Amino acid sequence: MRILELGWEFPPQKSGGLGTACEGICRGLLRLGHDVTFFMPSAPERDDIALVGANSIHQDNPTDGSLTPYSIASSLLPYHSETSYQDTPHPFEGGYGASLFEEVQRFASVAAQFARKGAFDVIHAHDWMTFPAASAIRHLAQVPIAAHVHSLEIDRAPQGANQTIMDMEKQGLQAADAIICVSGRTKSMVIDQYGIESKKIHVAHNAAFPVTRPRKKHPWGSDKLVVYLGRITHQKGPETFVLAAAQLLQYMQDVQFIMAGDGDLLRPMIERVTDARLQRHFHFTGFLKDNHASDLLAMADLYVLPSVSEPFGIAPLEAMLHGVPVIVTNQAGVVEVMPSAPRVDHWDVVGLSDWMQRILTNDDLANELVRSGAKDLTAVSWDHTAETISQILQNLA
Amino acid sequence: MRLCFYFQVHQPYRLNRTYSIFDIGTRTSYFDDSLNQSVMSRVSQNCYLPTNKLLLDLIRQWDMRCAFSITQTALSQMKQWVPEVIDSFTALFETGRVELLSESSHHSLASVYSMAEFCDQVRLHTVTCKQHLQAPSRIFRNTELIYFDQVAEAVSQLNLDAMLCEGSQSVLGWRSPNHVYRGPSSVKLLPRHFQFSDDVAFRFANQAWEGYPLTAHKYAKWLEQSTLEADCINVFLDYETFGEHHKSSSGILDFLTQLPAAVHKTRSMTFATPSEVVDNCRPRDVLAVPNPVSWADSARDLSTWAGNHMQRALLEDLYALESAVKSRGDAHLLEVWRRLQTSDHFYYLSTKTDADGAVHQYFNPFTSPYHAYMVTHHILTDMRLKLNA
Repeated sequence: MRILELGWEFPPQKSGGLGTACEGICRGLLRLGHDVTFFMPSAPERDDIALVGANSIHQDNPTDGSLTPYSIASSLLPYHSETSYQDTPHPFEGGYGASLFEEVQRFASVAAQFARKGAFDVIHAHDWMTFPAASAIRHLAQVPIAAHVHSLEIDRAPQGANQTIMDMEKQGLQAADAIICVSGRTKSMVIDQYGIESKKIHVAHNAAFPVTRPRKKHPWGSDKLVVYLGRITHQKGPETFVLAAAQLLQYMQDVQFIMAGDGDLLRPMIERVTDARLQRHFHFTGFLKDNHASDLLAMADLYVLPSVSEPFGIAPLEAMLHGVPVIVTNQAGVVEVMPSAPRVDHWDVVGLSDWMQRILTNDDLANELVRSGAKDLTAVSWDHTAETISQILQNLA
Repeated sequence: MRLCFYFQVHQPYRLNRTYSIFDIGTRTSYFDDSLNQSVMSRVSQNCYLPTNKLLLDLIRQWDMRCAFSITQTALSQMKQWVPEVIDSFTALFETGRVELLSESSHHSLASVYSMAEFCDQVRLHTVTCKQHLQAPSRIFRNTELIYFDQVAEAVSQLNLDAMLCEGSQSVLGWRSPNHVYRGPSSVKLLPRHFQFSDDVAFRFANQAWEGYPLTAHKYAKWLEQSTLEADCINVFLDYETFGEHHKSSSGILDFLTQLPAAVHKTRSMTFATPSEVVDNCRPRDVLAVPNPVSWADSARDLSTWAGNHMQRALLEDLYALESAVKSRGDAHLLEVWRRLQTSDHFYYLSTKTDADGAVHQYFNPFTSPYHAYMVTHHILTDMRLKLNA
């Protein structure tokens, strides 16, 4: 099958799980022998996987069985002077900046132009940013669309959902021939939120790449290390983590908390932690690159995903693969593939604190959780995810 | 009427802004040598060397007098990277008309957090100055002119006669800054005339200011107009004002060049060192200042360094290490701990967003106070682990 993937981020250029998932899926589809082209606003340089950036295209024929580099020239150039207009490649920024909507629309028109030249059997579009592009292509070329939902606007901003984004989500999902959700949780949200019929919605759980990294020692000696790793935004539940840490520190002192990541709540969290004078047990790292995130997991004694609303949540799988026990919330899709992980509701500070204490003070329990978690994960891999997706796409093409 | 100029010379050892959580327990270099060297070299070229040379000429020509404080962190960086600056300061002190003030060695907030450490730093500064410059006088200036009654008491215990303070309402009440006062334990106080000081330090190059352009002649006129009922006028400011904060293109060095002649012409003012002011002016009143006052920001209190929780939490953590550091008996570790006390590190954590906040950006190696917090916190964590404290 010739698959056109429409995406917004791809490692190392990413802000969260979306890029990681796209990489896992693409690698899996390639291994199944599909011809995969990943099209995105601005492609990072990668030696192992070639990507197509909408911003720079010197086009050539796709070679079979691999991701192929392209570039596209476009006449829609904002912020450019008349003189540089002719020679400068299309300036897509990628990311989620102030010009996101404008970029989404522009991406759609460039993608349509691009897709007309290639012959694709199916379009696989990842999240709302690429849905207008999928619609534009279908309008011209009658190629079937599978819309992949990694997260919904109501996950990201439950209180302040953006209506324009919700409209794009709805239109994209309605227009799609099939919808692939990262969890059953997300599938039911798509049904509830947008009234889409359940029979065209499929679930393909995310996965994680195998880990070969050995455990690392951390500098706090015999203290236990509890890790939060992700964007520090309301969706991820950092407040619950800080409150549970404060609660736990009343009962045990030989524990260190690390909140790794960046986001709009980083500053308020630092202020909260210092206001409560927890700073001797609580550390902030700012944004971590992948290898550092892995270093951190290799040192951790416990990983917590306190998310308020998490379509899936790849990081707990990664933690498990590093041999770290995890606690997740009932509001995370990942619980569907980790039935043996301890879980609490995202608002349950006392429950979270209790679980942390139990695991940190009982090595047998911690080891047992690692063992049972590993068993859960035997059925989870990107190859497996890709097989599910491949089946869905094949039925469309 | 005596006109007293005092210049603060200070540079901190700025922290290594790349110090990450993964460096804790492994990386021992907390300070950014290359940044510190480049700032010290730049400020030396822009300010210390040319302004010292200019002052030497003015002293010889006009019998000008002034005072300096030079922090140990500045002095050791000069020694390391631009030793000729020390020679040029020595030349100034050798004229006998330039006074070197006593202070706490590391430009720290020790007077607020640990009086024992404060006294140690004052004594250490004396030893260091004797080694590289000359013995400081018996006039004291605290970090950023932080003053409150307990500091005066500690200063008196250290056998010092007088100290500088901010001439703000919270110190003086209704009183004029143009006199010498007395604090607890008979310590004499020289209040800074903040208006005349800030005219030069902050407003000199401000084209929107009604006093712009400030000429030496105009400034001397203003000073002269306030000599009625005045024993002294104390103009205290950062030395980096001359050539660094205000670049020489602003005319600041020309202003300084012409100032002694302009002052001389008034016939009502003479230059004096702080010691000469204290020896010749009778204290007019006793001041009680229970809460710390400084010369920093518009608030003129400690809020610049200890105004938010990040600042207070880290300051508490830092000073909580005192007994562990001191009982270790490791001179290098003690010196590192003291370099971490330099107030600038806490200044970078300030979250003030007004005009004061803009001033805080100067010489600041960090992208935000929160970035500064994370780096400073990692470094303090490393130090605490090293001390097993």
